Amino acid sequence: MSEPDLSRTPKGIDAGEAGASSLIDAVYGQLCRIAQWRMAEERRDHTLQATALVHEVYLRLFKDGDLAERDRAQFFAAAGEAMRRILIEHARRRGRVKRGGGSKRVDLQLADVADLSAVGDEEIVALDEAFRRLESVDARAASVVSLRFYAGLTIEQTAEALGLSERTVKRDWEFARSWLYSEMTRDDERD
Amino acid sequence: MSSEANRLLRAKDIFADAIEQSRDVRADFVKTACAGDEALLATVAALLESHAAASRFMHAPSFEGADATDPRGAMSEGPGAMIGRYKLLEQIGEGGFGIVFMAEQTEPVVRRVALKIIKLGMDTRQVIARFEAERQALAMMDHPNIARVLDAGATDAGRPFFVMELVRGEPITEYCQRHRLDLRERLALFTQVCHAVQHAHQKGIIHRDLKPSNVLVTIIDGRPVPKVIDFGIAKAVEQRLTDKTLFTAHRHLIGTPQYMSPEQAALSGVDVDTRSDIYSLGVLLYELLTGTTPFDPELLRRAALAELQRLLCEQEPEKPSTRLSTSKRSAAQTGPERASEPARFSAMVRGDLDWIVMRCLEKDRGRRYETANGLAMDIKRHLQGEPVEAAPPSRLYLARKFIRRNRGPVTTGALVAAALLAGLAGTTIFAIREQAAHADAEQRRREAELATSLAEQRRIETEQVAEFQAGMLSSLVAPRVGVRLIEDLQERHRAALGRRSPEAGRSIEGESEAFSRQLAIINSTDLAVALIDETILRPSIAAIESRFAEQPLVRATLRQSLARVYSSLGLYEAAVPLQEQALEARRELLGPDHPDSLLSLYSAAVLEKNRRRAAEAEVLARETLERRRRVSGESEIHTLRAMTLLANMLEVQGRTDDAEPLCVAAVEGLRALDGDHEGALIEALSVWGGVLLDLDRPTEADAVLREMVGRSRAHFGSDHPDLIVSLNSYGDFLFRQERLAEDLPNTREVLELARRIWGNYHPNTVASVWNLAFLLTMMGRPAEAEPHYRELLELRRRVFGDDHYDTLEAMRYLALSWIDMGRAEQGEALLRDVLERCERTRGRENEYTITIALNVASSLLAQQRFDDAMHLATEAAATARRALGESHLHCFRAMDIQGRILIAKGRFQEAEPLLREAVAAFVEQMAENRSGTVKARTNLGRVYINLSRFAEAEAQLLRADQYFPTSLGATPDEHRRCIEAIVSLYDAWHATEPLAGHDSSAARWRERLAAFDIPIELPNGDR
Repeated sequence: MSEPDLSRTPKGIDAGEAGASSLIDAVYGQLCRIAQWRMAEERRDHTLQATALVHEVYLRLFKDGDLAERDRAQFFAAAGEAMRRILIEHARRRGRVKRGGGSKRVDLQLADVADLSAVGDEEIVALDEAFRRLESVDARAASVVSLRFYAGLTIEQTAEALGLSERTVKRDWEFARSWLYSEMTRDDERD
Repeated sequence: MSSEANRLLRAKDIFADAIEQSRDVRADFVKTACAGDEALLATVAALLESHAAASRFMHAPSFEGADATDPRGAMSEGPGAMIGRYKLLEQIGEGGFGIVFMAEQTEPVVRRVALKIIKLGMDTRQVIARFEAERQALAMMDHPNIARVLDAGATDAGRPFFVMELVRGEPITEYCQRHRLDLRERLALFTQVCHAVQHAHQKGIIHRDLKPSNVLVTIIDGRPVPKVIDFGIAKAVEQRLTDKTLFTAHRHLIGTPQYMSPEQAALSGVDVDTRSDIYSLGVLLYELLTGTTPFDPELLRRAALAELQRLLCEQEPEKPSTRLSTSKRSAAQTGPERASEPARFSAMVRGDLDWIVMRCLEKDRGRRYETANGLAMDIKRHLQGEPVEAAPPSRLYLARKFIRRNRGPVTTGALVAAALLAGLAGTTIFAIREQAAHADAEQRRREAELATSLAEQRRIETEQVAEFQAGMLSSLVAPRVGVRLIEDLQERHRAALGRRSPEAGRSIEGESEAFSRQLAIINSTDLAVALIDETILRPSIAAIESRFAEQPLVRATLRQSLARVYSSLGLYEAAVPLQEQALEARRELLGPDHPDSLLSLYSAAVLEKNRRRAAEAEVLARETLERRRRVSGESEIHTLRAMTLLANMLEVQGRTDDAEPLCVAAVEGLRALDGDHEGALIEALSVWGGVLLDLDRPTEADAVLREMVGRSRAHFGSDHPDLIVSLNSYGDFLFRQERLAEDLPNTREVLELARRIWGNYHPNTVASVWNLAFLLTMMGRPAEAEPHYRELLELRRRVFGDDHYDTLEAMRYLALSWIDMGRAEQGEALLRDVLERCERTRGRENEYTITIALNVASSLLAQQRFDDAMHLATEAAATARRALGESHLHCFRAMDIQGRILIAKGRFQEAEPLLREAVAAFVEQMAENRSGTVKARTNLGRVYINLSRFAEAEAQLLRADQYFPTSLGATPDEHRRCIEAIVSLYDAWHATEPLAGHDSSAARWRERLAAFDIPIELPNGDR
């Protein structure tokens, strides 16, 4: 599966009448559903890149025009948000974890977009909780995580989508990773 | 911002700067940057520490860490070791959840026991706690066919272990096979197993893991006694079937999930109950009868989770008797009577035992036997020749089953695509990884010979997987996926609008509609096909190219499979290069006469046929035929199939005389052939029937095609696409022979089957709706046709969009039905919509646009808006003459309409030449029995009556009456009006010539009129 091809911009809906944000809503919902199914079906030794995939689908769907830069960033933000939610919903639905408790040592070995079947639900839930704390202390770093990790964008693509320099994104990313990790392992000690 | 958050952001900057520094200066850098702020320093230090520890966190490929859960972790316990009061003697088994040892108990009594150590690194305390919870119930079990569980505990290494009564025996299936037990003996053993399970169920114990290795047969007093072992263990170990553990399970632990009930495999969170054990008993019985499990263990082992679930939860296994008869030839099976009397055994299983087994294997546990005793009783009934409780399923029941089986794709079409993304590419990659892993291992061990055999085995497996995946993909119905994609998007869009602005409810419909309109531009089928192509097939091609460069034969097989998938999606052009490469590679590596090369050659011919390149297909089919003749002889299945294909291609090219002898030879050859070649025979009969029809030998064609349908029904059963194809081609024949009444039940059945098998959006289903609607129109039954046109219109709108010719035709025929039903105004409105679209997209002078204009004129006439109708008809006539020429049928259609208007206005003199010319043209360019012809004759007859040209009127009207019954498209009401005209003719004639006896003619026709069946809908217009 290839990286999303950013040179082909999603479009097909004028920002005017139907509204780009409704496009994003529509795509968002769809994306959730497809990615969710995809992950439910995924086998453990096959890395999932649902976003890249869904991307292609919707690029196809809206290929005949250009979406404004702003809307494209929104599109990816929605994608990242969706992926995060999907992960957590999936983990919760399986009912294997109760919030906050039960997890032992956190040892995440996540790839870009998590391959659910190889990752414990506890880890997903713990990561999600840590992520939401990150949002409250450093929203920008959280956006980077959302795009970089959940939506599967590269550093360069993330920078482009957020209108930041690559260096800033890299710094945010390294910080967020370390911070999330320490949050998750600290949680552990609390138990 | 809180000071803590503030500090964190400062720490972040320092941290980010720090990691850009080299390690040796990092500490100093941080110390300086924190400038004595201890809290800040601590925060930065923590971040740096995490950074070092988390080097792979959110980075590393996930599968690298997977081995951490490998349960084959080192086991320290071995023979000689003491575990509690048990001394391990020797390992006697390995499977399920752990390793089994024979052990010696030293206190309170000395005895030998079986001790099973659980391998998995699970929570020992919980396992033991769960065991303790069940212990009381387990202790209450006392049955000669159950091995008792005696004790449980933890080893020094912290692994849970169980102690059981020692059973020295072998798995029931192996015992039966080795001792060549006959059917009755097998059933007797199995019945005992049922009783044991029943006993446990009564004590509230569910086994959860019944399989041959847990049912051991031991000899007591010279008699075989089955013993069920491991009761209570699966529960204690609580093998939770999430997708993760399932895979762990079936790779490393359970071995294969072939004994697992659908509810256990579905991960649905449904509690496992006694009926899950019934299912497993059913699998066991299946294996005892056939020597195989319902689902191919290899297939299950290799299947991705989704496929596994699909198989277990949706696919109906073959009946045991079918399995016996189909796998007769495959040797090296553990089958029961195969070695001695396979046919007799198969016959004994057919019927009762089939149904007994299948009832156990019901997907819906509510349909299984309630109890293990119930199952045992039914077996007893069978053995005593009494009717069994399990009965063959009714038709309705089968239909429900079908719906259930297909509910997934029908309701979640859009998601099918997503689900399939785990398909070919994933599996291929998986296979490659496996292969790489193996290659490494081989290298290390340097066992070249083993490597070769392993590689060969792997190659076969890979090919099988590819075949399986290709099969799954081929069954994908692109139009259905496409429509669902669009629908989901619309639904989501609407929901999103509602979320965004709940107060602006009224604008939602508008926006939603605008969105739908924009989506409507997209051809959803194309979208789905493109999606499948881009996300599954092309990545697969790329993977094949890059990964199998070293294995040209595997690559050829994979390419061949992909070519087949492309063909099934209708993407024939994309299939071409793959097909060519596969053929070329096989010819080069295997030689042109190798069976695989010949299969590819045949596929290449079929592909050309599908591309409607009959001449090219002919060449390839001919070559296939010649090679097959040489390699395998004249009367061999592949030879005969090639013969059929060649005949077909010759027929398509109009060379029916050449085609016929080939058909005869193919059919005769196939009839004479041993074995089951019904599919090929049906195909050959179909081609032959077509050829006979072309040769104008309809009676023979009828017989051949009837045979084809009969064989299809018997062979395919009612749920098979090929039956539809057969029925439909017979229907074509009937329709072409204008045997409409006979065609009607046939066409209805085709539609019903198509809906069930393909769903509503499949092109074949849409075509079938059209066929039925059009047939009803041709039979003059507009009111019955109307609902079908309405549905057709909706389907075509979705699949083709609004301006597509097929959509417009659906609109047109719907409108014409309305006009015939007396709803001319409604018809006019719809036709005007069509006309507007045609004028916009095709121009006014287009033939089709003129057709529509004439239809609008008819609708106006039906509303008695004579001047409007005349205006439009005259205009259309002028356009038709100018654009299409004087002799085009449209010119005469316009004259026909003008004539009818003039009749309505009482201007018979002017009407006469117009109608006369129209009738002549209709007969010449169409036929006597077309609705246009008979109706125009009726009208011309009326004109002559009014002009008192009675003899001419009589000639026209009697001829019209003669052709009405066989006419295509005229309604009974129109025929009735023709007869009314005949009555009035003789009345008028009698009034003029009272002595000529026309009054008796009038009376005779009055009688016919009275007897004429008057339809319910009375048209109010004169068309």
